[in-house]
Amino acid sequence: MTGSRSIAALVAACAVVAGALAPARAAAAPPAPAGLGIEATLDRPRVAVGEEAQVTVVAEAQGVALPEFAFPAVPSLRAVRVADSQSFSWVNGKLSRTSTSVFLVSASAPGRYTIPPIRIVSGAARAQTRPLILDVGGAPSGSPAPTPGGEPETGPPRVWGDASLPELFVRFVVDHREVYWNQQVTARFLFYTRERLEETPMWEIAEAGGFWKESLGEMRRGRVKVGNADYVGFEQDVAYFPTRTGRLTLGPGRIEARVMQRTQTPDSWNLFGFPEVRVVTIPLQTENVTVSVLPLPPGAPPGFRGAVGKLLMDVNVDRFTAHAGEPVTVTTVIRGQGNLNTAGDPDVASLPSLRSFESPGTVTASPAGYAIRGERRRDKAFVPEVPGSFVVLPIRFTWFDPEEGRYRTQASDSIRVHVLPGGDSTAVAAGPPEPPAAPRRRSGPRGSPDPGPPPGALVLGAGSLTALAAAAASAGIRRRTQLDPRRRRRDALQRIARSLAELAGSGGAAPAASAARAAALLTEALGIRYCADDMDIGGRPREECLQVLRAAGAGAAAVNEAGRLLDDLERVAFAPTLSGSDSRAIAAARALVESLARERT
Amino acid sequence: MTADASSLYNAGTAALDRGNIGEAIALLSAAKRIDPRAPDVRRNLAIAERSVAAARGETPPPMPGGGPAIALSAAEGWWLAAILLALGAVAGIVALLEGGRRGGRRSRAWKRGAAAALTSGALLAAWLSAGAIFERRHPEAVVVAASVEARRGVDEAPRSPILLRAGERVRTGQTHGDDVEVLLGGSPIGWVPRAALWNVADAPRYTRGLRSK
Repeated sequence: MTGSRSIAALVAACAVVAGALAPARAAAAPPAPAGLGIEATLDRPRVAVGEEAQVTVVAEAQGVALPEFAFPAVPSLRAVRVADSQSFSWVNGKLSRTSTSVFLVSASAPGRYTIPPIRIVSGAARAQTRPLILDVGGAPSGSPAPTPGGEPETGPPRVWGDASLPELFVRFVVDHREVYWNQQVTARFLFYTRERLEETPMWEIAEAGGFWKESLGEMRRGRVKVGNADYVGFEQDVAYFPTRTGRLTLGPGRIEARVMQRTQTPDSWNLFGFPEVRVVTIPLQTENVTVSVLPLPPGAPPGFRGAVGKLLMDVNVDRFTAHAGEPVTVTTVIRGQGNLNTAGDPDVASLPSLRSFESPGTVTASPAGYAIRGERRRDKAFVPEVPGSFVVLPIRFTWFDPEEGRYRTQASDSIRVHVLPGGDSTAVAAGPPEPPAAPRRRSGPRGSPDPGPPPGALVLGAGSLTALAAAAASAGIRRRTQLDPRRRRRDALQRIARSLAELAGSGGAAPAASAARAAALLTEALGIRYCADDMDIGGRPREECLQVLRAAGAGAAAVNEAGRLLDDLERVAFAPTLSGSDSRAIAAARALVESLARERT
Repeated sequence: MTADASSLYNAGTAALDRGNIGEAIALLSAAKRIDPRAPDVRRNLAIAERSVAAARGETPPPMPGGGPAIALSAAEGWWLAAILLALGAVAGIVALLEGGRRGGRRSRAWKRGAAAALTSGALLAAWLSAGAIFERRHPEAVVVAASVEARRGVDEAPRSPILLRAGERVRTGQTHGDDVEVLLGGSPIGWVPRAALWNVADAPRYTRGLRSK
């Protein structure tokens, strides 16, 4: 009996030792071949019986094919695959594929459960995760048990309802209680309810001093089972990066749930006896969590600039052959998980030292699961001035890996760039050169490359427009004067006076005809002077003409003078004397017409 | 500043032979402004521009065809506009005289001819004036240095440096000391030393400098 008991004790001791050594052995396992990797994380180390913990498995492989993996079976531990996501990335001509699977695990009995390594195999390459340990306790972790390291509870409660089976409760979980400076702390603010809610509640998270924080996406919602009871859970995840060391406090998170409660109406006749719904606002508040932030260990390699996380560096050169004067751009890309804003860029130098231009680094990051992933990119251009070659010196990037607890350094190879003469560059790049046309031996047209107007064209255009403007102005003036009635009357009278002068000059040849013509011209002149434009008195008898003149307002002296002249002209027309008196009558008529033309009326 | 197109062409061809693509493009562009239909100028300028495009990794522009080019220099355009305005003025004066004599149908024909000539001449002059004013405010220039960095101004926000290579055409803006503002596509991109650029309109000055050397 004693022997069997000691054998059992020995076996138990061996099992304990083996169990204790298993993680260490897994940790000391050779690293997975490049291009194939798998990692599993557990969102909390301890849960209650029936409560679900989340296992996230991230597998990565180069190429299109990603091997499948299975969650290992563990007695009394139930695992359900609830989500899968895949992503591709094409970097430096290499395709890699990443798969993220989420499992919800729950235990039916208390105890310590060890989830064995999850393995993937791709050809000769193998990779596996570390074993995960989950402690399952007897009471729901959502109960208001004091949290180790938590602050004394103040303000709104964390639970509403019966403590053993609460209607509502909140939790605040962090993945690490002890981290290094700038290492990510993932905080999960959880709200569980068994009641109907009027609206989706929103978390109000207190500012945490000494942390830089980044939200890990929108609030998630799902159904969970806690302690054999079904709840609806709301989860808000936040990534915190400590910016100083010491004991720092996270939280609390507050939430106000508007619960719809049914109450039986006191009046059975009211609303056919249907129960009424009452909205009750219930504030809840999580506990605080204190996180110990350790300083980074001493002995940081030279070139370390504060990068903390799981990072990798890529180096790209846009060309290996350039021409003198052409820039050669070296791009460094730091990608991975961590606070890339504080990662810093590695030094890039050339031998011999060349003129260089550096762009500020750009950071792109986004939530990926419970982590912040992204890349930090920086370009530096070197401009070789002389043919030959130069070398981009090895680029070293140092960061601190908090999981390993040590500094890591990645260095690129040196890169040699050949520099061709500047003048040949275009010919080489453009293929067979086109022979240029030969120089000219004769002079060509003269001119100015300036697109301004030549002086001659300016003078011609401006002079033409000036002449046109002057002609238009004079035409306008002439048109205006022609439209003046006094001017028109004067011109007509002057024309008649000129005709009378011609008649007086030629009156000796045919005095009778000249006198008749002069009488008609005089009558026309009198009509122009005294009558309206539309009244013509030409051809009328003498007395009628004179009456019209009197009616038009002509003075008595003028009418008498006109009558006398018309009598004289009529006499000459019928009985010419063939003496000077005939031409005198025409001259008198002309003098009268000229005097009428000179009048200002 | 007037110059002989042949002297600009010969200087640009010599620069092309030496591999000074920036100088070649500046001088040949100036020669093309004076003599835009010359096949040898167009050919050598296309060779230089293809070199720049190839160096930048871009698709080189096609070589000019052998057929006659239909293009007018700015000076020829100005002369055409002036002649159209003069013809319009003559026709207008005739129309005014005919109108004074009550010319009727002939007067209307002269008026229509005058209006057509004056309108086309004025439109052509306005278009040429707009180009000349833009050139006066933002002269076209060519990078003659092997490469030059367009730096940001003192009060300007940080941005990535832009490298300009020999032969790239830019427009220039205001000057400050020995630096001149550079515009690409109408947007200022930075400041470069004035010595790194040659203004196309000032190309005759550079040919005199070449001769003096």
